[in-house]
Amino acid sequence: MYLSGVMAQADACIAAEGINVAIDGHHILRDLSLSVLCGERVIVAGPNGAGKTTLLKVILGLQRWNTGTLQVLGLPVGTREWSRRRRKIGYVNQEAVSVDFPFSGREVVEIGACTLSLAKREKRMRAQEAMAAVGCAHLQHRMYARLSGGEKQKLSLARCLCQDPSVLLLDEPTSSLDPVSRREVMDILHDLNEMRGLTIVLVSHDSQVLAETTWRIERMEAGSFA
Amino acid sequence: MNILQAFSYPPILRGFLALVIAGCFFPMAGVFVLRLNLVTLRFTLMHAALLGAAIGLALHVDPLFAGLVLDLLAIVAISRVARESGLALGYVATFFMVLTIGLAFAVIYKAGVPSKDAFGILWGSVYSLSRVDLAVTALYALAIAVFVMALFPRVSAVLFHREIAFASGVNEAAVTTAILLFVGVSVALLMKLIGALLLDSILLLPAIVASFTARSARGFFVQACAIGAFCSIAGFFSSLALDVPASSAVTVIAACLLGAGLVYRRIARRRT
Repeated sequence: MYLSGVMAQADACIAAEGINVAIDGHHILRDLSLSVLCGERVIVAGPNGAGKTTLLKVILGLQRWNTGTLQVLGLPVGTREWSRRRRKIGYVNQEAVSVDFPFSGREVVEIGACTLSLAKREKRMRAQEAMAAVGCAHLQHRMYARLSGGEKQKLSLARCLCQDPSVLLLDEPTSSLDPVSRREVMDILHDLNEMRGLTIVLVSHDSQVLAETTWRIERMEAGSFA
Repeated sequence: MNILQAFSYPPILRGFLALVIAGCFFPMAGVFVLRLNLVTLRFTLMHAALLGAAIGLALHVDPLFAGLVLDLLAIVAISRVARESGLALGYVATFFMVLTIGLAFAVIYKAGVPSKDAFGILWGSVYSLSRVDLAVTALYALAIAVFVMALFPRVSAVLFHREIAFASGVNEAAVTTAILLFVGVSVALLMKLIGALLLDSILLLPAIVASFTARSARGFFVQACAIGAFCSIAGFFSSLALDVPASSAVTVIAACLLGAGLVYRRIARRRT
């Protein structure tokens, strides 16, 4: 079961209050508040430069914020306790990672299990299960660098699943995909939410995704929600 | 003198062992250099080692030891400044490269250090190694092998993408710093072994050739080490047979393999 026991009820999985981020004097996020319930699926929409990616990085702990409070899975982000549970947040970044390095598909997925206290064989089995769950088991021996954008995104989702997350943060996962691949990725995300209870926060400015979705949509503009 | 007789001379035996050990394990650091784009850092470390040698000679300390210390200090400073400033590692390394060479010349001039001696750190020789040098090389090789093998999942996560490694629960700052330290020590030891100008024949060229043929990250490390081992062993025996410096022979063989690798890659790309 992938759903975290700690936040199994419909508590606030992500609770941000009055977050401000300024980088080199530029205000990226302004007094931003967001509450996402466990098991919820949310699309954060908005134009380029609205601060969507920064918001995800703040939630993930990759970007420091200046003022405000932020709790993820009931733990204040940045604390030692949170650091121990950080891997409960799966992250797919903006562009499918472009690497001129011979990672195999399976190696990329196994990265998700790299900090789990499991035997090598168990990690491999977990990776196989994750790849099967998103329909990319056939990519395990292929070189990651030579895969299409859609195939890379599927491996990224499998990597996140391998991590045993409670929350998935996805930054423009469909931006470089053709309509068929985009539909596939969105269907996989929908299934992960429905069947595994994963909380999903997806950043997108893809009008097609926004038009077709039944997810909760939060619109960002100039660093805060409209 | 035949080859077996040559091994009866301790400096030659020590040189052979050190070269084989370095060839087998140091290309792992070359994989780090390639993947994390640390080519500029490599030059910075050479300059820092020169500064260390100059300071060492001025203070009557072993120049190799001083160079190694300066390399480690430079790595700590570079990674800290890059992290705090948000600047790319390459930019920070370039700044330190200029700074260290400038300081090196200043120390050489002000302390009256013979520049020939300071620059001597740039020319290595496998036959000038002491038992301690050999032991240090062997211990270091063991350390980098253990680091890569025992922490392979975390190391490969950082090599894949640092943000994703972080999100996967890896202490990517610590792993990255460890990687930089391994690169720094590799550069310093290889400078002693075969010299600054030729160290890429063991550090980088095997990794580059392996990048043409490897199909997985694990395979990349294994192949780089196998190619490094071949270059160092073949280079050593070639140097004895042809009576040329070992470092030159290793470099020529590594360069030939690189050429062969380029041809292989061109053919492989035409087929696909």
